[in-house]
This record gives sequence, structure tokens and C-alpha cells, in this order.
Amino acid sequence: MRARLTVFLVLAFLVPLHVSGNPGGVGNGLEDMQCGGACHGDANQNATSNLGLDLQPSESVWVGQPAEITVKISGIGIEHNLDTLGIFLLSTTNANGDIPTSHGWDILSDGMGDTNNYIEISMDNPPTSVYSHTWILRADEVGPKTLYVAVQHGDSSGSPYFGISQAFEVNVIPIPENLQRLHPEYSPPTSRDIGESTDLCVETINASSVVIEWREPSGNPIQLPTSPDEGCWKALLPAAIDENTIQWRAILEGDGPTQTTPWFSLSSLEPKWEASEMALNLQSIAHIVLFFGIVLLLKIPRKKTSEFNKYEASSEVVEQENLGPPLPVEGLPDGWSMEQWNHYGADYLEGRL
Amino acid sequence: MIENGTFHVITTELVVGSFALAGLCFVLHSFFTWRQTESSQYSQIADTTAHAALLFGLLALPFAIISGLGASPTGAHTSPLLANKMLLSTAGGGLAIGVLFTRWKLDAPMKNAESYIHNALGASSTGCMLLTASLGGTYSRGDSLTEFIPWIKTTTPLLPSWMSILVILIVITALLLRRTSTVKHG
Repeated sequence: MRARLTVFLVLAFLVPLHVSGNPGGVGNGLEDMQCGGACHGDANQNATSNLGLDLQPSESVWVGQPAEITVKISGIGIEHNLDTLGIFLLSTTNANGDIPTSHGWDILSDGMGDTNNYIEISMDNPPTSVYSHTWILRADEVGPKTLYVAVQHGDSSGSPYFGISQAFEVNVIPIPENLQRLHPEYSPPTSRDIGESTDLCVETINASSVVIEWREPSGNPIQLPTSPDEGCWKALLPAAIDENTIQWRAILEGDGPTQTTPWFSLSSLEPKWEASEMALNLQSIAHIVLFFGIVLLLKIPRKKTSEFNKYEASSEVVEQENLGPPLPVEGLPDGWSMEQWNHYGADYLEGRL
Repeated sequence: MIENGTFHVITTELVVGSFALAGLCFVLHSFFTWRQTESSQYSQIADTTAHAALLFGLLALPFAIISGLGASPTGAHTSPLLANKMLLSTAGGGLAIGVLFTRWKLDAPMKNAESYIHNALGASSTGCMLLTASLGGTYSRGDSLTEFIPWIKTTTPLLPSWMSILVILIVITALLLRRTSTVKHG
């Protein structure tokens, strides 16, 4: 019996576990480098990607203002056989606290309807050997900052690859005092439901007039009039009839030279699932009570008949059930309870204790 | 200050580890009960370990649930996957509390049939917890042990509030009636 159990346990430990990458990706998100070592199951198995990685910030990165950070992935070829390409925008390479938000950046847009630093691109039909993607970031302090771009992908054999760029230094400079600008707390919308138009309310400083332009990616821009209302410039972006992404930007006039913001991406998505929080919490409590009750109700009841009770009530029966060896004339040994005597009294009398 | 996400990973490991040990011991206990040979010592060890591990896992469970909710920026009610995690974990928690409670209130050794049912319920609570933890792997690895339930990442079988309250009342009433019924027979 013991031998069989040992063999079973040894076999259980020897069964090899399947470790591989995630062919379907892990989804966009806020991720440290290599997802902190979890993107590919075991980061030590990663081969080094030979894709070229480049990062180009906008010409002037002003503190408190949105800035375009464009990454370029080059060298994509047939031999890579990429289904999904994961791209990281990182501020360190520690695999912990690498997200730019940990180092004085706000991610205003990841270009995919959210504010993540890690995105996945479907590469079913790679159009060119170079892929570009743009994030919109905002720095909260003046000075040099460091950014990295990293990629992860598989190949036809399913092997995981990882590559990281050199450090790119981005110099954040102070903004001229009277220059018209977006309010430093303004965050552009990144997503909306299909069929919903979007009321933009663009907060600015020192702007005398604002024009909004929107376009489909790579399409011609269409201008929208704005009107100042409740401390912001209002404009209405038209609704989308299916899942897509449009881009918009603001052109600010004021005392200084005309200022144009980066193109902000706005994705139209299927409405998100949302349930009643109260209903969910109540059902959780109901689950605890229900399954607790099921266990108790499944317990076979020990019915006590009157016949049984008659004997149960007898102190003699109870005493006989708990009877140990007869007590010695000197009584219980020092420090012993009657219960202990019932269990261990025989050993005591035989001198084994 | 430790982040909710990090704390959730730690507490989840505690819950999963404890429940997995408990589940294994419940299965072993049933096996020893079925064999009925050289079982008394092993059986007692398996029984004690199962319930002690279950208790430890149960103590860590609220921390895992609370930190998990804290780690989600929008709450469990905004994602069917998170909602299902919450419902599965509370189902497993309810089973575990019931199993521990009946074991604590045990006034005489269980008969074999009772023991099998008890162990099956204990192992079921382990199953719920493993599925719950596995669902979380969807975020980090893109897959989980729940591929055999295709709707679990997209749909939540959510009852209306009134029905949940009704379920709670019915179960409490049934338990009270059962208790009264047992006393009357006695």
C-alpha cells in the first residue's frame, strides 16, 4: 500500500508539464517588461527577436502637454510567420515597475481605444516590413526621461521571442508661459460605444479660439466648429456605425503661434458588459448561504428515537461508554484528567507511562 | 505600500495551495475509507490535514477576494469573467464553511456513505477554488482550465436581487425547519 502510494506520488511529480507561449496573446494591458516574466510562461525560454526597434518622440515634448511617441518595428518578414505581435512601451527594464506611469508619464492614448502600455497587433497580413504605432503620453515634470520599446512574438514552431530596444532619452522642456495649450489635467476620451456620438469638451489655457479636426486614419481631416461653454470648447464628433477608430485633434489660437495637438484616437466598441453591483453582491452572499445549506442538508440526520433517548439519558450507559480501567486506590495520578485516564490508564497501570 | 495586484497574487497562492492540499486529502480519505485496510492511521491523518488546510484556505479567502476586487479598476460587475470568479469563489467558500461546520459539530464517527458525501463536498469546494484561480490565468496567459465552459468568460448567470434574497430566505428556512424537525423526532 505504502509502496503504491509512493510510486503514485513520484509519477505525479515526474509528469512533464507543457510550457509554451500564448499563441492567442495575453490581451492589451498595463504590463511590465515580459509581463513580469509571465507572458511566455517561462521567460528564460525566450529566444532573442531580430526585429528592429525604434522610438521617435514628437519634436518638442512640453511638460503637461500631450506628446506623440511613435515606435517603429522593422524587419518583419515571411520567416517570422507572425500571428500576433506584442509591443511594449516601457520606462525601465526591471520587469517590475516598468510602466511609464511609474516614472512621471500619463498614458493618454494607446491608439487602440485605451490607455495601456502593452498592445497586441494582429499580423495576419503584414502590410509592410515596417510597422508604426503611436502612443500619446504626457510628462508631469521637466527633465530627461527614458523610454524603451520591446516586442514579443512567436514563430511557426511556437517558440517565444523577445526583443528590447536601447534606451531612448526624451527631453521634457518647460512650456512658454503665455502659450495657448490644453489644460494639464485634460484627458481625451479614448473609446465610446458604437452608435454614440461624442460630446467633446476640450479644456484649454490662454486659447482665444479652438477648431476641432477629425478624420478616419489616413483620411482627409474634417473641421468642426466649437463653442465655449462651461469652461471648455465644445464640439460634437459623429457616431460610428461599426467598430472602428477615428482620430481628432485641436487647433488652438491665442497670443502665441498656432498650436496643434497630436491626433488622438477614439475607438468605437461594442457596448461593454455591466451588471448590477448590488445583484452580484447579493448573489455572492446567496451562493455562500446556499452551498453552506446544501452541505448541512445533505448530512444524514441522526434521528433520536424515544427508545434511544431512554438509554441515552441513562448515566450508566454514558459512564460505561467512557469507562477506562479501574482507578487505583490512591486515585488519579497527579495532573491527570478522567478523560486522560480513560484513554491512557491501561498504559499507566502496565508501567508504560 | 503593497499594491492590490501583488497582494492578490500572494493571497491567491495561499488559497489555492491550501485548497489543493485539502482536496487531495479529501480524495485520499475516501480512498482509505474504501480500502478499509491499514486505514485508521492514514485515514485520520488525511481527515485532519484536509480540514486544517481547508480552514487555512478559508481564512485567506476573504483577503484574496477583497484584494482581487481592489485590483480591478472598475469592479467585478463590469466583466463577466470577474463576476464569474466572484460567484465561483463564494460557492467554494460556502461549501468549505459547510464542510468545516459539519466536521466541527460531528458528535460521532461518520458512516462510510456520509464520509464519501462529506469528502466529495470538500473536494468540490477545492474544484471551485481551482477553477476560480484558473480563470484569473486568462489575464496573464490567455487560457484557463475552464475551456470546457465556453460561456464562462463572456456570460454570467446573474439572478435578480429579489431572487437572491429569496434563495437566502429559503435556505435559512430549510435549515431552521430541519433543525426543528430533528428536535421533534428526538
